Amino acid sequence: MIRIERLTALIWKEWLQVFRDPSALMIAFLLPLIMIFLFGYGLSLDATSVKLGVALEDSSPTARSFFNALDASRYFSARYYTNRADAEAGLCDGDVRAVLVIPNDFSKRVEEGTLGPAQLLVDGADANTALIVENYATAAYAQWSATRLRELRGLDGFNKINLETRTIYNPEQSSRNCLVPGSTAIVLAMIGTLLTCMVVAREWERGTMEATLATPIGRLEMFLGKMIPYFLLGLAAALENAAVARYVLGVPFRGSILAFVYASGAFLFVATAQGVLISSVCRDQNLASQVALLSSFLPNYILSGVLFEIDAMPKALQMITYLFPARYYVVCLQTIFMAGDVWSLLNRQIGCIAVIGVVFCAAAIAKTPRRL
Amino acid sequence: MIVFDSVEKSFPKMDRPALDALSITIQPGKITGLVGPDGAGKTTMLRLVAGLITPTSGRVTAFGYDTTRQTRRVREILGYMPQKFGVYEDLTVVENLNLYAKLRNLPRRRRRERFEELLEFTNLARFTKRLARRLSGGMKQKLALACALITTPKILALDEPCVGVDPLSRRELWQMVRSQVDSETIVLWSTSYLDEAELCDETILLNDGNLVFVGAPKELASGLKDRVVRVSGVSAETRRKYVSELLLRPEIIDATIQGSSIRATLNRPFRPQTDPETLFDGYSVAPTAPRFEDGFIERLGGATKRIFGAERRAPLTTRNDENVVVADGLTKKFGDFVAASDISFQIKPGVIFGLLGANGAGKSTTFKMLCGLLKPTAGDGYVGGASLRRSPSSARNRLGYMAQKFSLYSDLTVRQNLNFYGGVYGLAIRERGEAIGRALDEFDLQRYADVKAGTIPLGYKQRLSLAVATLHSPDALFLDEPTSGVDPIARREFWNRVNQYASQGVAVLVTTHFMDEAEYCDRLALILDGRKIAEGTPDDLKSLATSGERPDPTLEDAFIYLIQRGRNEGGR
Repeated sequence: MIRIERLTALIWKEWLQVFRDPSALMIAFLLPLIMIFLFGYGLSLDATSVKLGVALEDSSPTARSFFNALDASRYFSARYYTNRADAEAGLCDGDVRAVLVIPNDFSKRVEEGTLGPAQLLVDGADANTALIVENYATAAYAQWSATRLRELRGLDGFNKINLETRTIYNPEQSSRNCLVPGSTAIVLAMIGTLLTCMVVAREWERGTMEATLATPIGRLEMFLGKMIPYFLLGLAAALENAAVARYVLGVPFRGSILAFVYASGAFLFVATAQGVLISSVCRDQNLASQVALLSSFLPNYILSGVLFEIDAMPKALQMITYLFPARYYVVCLQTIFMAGDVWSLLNRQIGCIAVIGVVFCAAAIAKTPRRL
Repeated sequence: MIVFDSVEKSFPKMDRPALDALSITIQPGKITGLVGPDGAGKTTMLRLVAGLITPTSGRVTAFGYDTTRQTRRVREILGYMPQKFGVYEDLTVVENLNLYAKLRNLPRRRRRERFEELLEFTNLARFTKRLARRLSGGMKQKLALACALITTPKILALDEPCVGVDPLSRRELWQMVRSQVDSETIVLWSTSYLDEAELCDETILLNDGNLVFVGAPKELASGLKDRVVRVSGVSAETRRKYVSELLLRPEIIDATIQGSSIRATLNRPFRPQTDPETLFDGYSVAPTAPRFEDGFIERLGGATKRIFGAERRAPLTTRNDENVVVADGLTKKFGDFVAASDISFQIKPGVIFGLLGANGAGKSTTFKMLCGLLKPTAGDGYVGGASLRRSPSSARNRLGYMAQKFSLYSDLTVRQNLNFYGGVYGLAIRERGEAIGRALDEFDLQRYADVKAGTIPLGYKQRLSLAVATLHSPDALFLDEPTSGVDPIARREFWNRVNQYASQGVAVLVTTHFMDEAEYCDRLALILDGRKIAEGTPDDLKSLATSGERPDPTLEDAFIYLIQRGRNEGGR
């Protein structure tokens, strides 16, 4: 049995408290901004101006032209070494991230028309960058040598098949366009779960929960009275995030607001239910925030596929990602931002989120206390 | 009516039930006091009535509704005020009222009228737009009361509404609740102040989860008719010693200091012809009216009979005629807020000095400045001649501090705690060993010596705190609300120990909100809104409030009078 007046009274009270509490307002509106700017400007998975050492054992004009081609690329800032030993020392000292060794028979081989073997030494300490450098350097070498060969032998000599790549949805292949939408999932996990459970736990600590429980209020009213205000707050933050992404960071937004609200609503449904559940069990602000960080923020951060490719994870971990709604929500976000309203895809993802949401809701309602 | 039918309530990790086989019927039309020290079971009873917890066995019914199975029905007729403020601090007065009106289904058309009534009656009409956070402790409690009363409940359950509230607000709260009692209302009022019990129509006295007494408060004391006497004419120097001597006599079951006289309870009626000579060494003795507390002590078997306090080992570093503790214009500001303003007093050796005031009045701030825990904005404090500003660590070394909450290491054993603090106070190994052995004997801590401090009973924790504070034989002892939460027997024992230290010349500074404890002090300072508004002996303060209509005021009367005078002078 729900009495609308009681429920609205609870929601109104919650709003008043949030707007009078600077720390809650910061979590709700400032934190999303900080996160989105961090993801937009601070974090980039693209490697640009990687310091690349080039050991030119061959000092012919051909080899030099390759060096210049590398240096001119925006991906590398090339550094010249006369021999392999010096370049390796530079790699050891961390002056360069990778070393490309051009052997002394390089130009001779090129002239002969055989793609000469060049050695690439990569600093593998940062595996991610190492992989990118390796790919870029290989590609640069292949491209340069192809061009060079064409120049030497004419168009008919090589490359009968000309592979032309076209990237759709994110033509610049900018990681920002993919990270910024994904960051919304992390922000909403913070607001939905962390803020909700901290606020409820505070009521336990201050003793207001005891007074409220002693009124004729029902379990469902208590649950909804906590969930709805933070659901709406989260939705506001999501829209704020989308607006900043679109108008400040210039990330394309090809889908509709409706689809965005629909997907975000589903995700928030899980996040807030989880927040209420945590606070019903923990009742202590410190503990509640720890549990929220471990059970919501970190998994959503690491297992959502925003930062780390899910397909690259071990199989067992991949299975676990299915349990977290962020996985589905990130797909929705990236689709809505980059591709547009692909309803068949969105509905499937949102359906999965809804299933998780129903489980959390049922658990949260069952755990909503009527007694101390 | 409310019926407790052989109710037992146990909590996990507690060695004994919070309430043990309680059967009791509470009738409407009166204020029923649930009286007892912390942990006696008062809050447990109230929460059982509100259905906030369920009994382990037995049954609680309120007006025929089972509080476990028909919780919502019970809550519809209940007004409940928890011990921590039940009001939302971020909401204004009127927003709080509105919230509770809606939560309790007060029909919209009746709200306006009811709000006006309650605001008028709680004197909060001027503050409707003020955030509850900015109300004083007394006003917050009145607001919480108004919220609980919003639907004129049939059961009004109030959990220690007067804790930390100044005596004036306390008196007003009583009047408010009194005016709400009609023939159909049950008022449950829990309190740990035994003097407050006397204001109730009916009392349920609990100790350690057991029922000690049920009935009108007068009945508890009436058994002691002609057995309570007042001994006067004992000089201030010998008074404390004399109390402990009296306690050792078999005929005497209780003795305490009350201002300049001594209050004693006998195990038989007082014999005016012979007793003054044979039992009271020729002092003038007159029978006096027994109090609720006297009855409680008697029911619990009388005060502990033994001599407390061994000989002091280290001589005092302060000379006899010097002030041990000096507060010289201590002022503390937090931003715009003046927590303490120009507070000065001096404490001579052997004097027990009481600092009184409501929560938030500034007594803890003053206290913390004198302990060197808080740096004064202006003014200075001295302990044993050392300035807290210039040489705080040597000042701190001359004082023993006992914090309000148990602040020792719960995970260390009693002995490890003593050892650690002995080290902190700079006692050499051999000296420390002796001091610890002495403390364990003197405070009866021997049997808990190797038990973790967090798990020993509350009374023993308090003893351990005092043992730690006195380990280095300090010149001054600072006690911050030392007896809150312990039963009256343990309180007697505690004060007897403190008296022992005082008679060895230690200066004692104590804060308390128990009025009867204020009577144990030699001098008192009353703090209101950060200012000291009066200082003197308990009898001095009482005489200030003496008037034609009030020839023999109690200390509480005196405080109310002084608070009103202070407020008027404060320009309000």
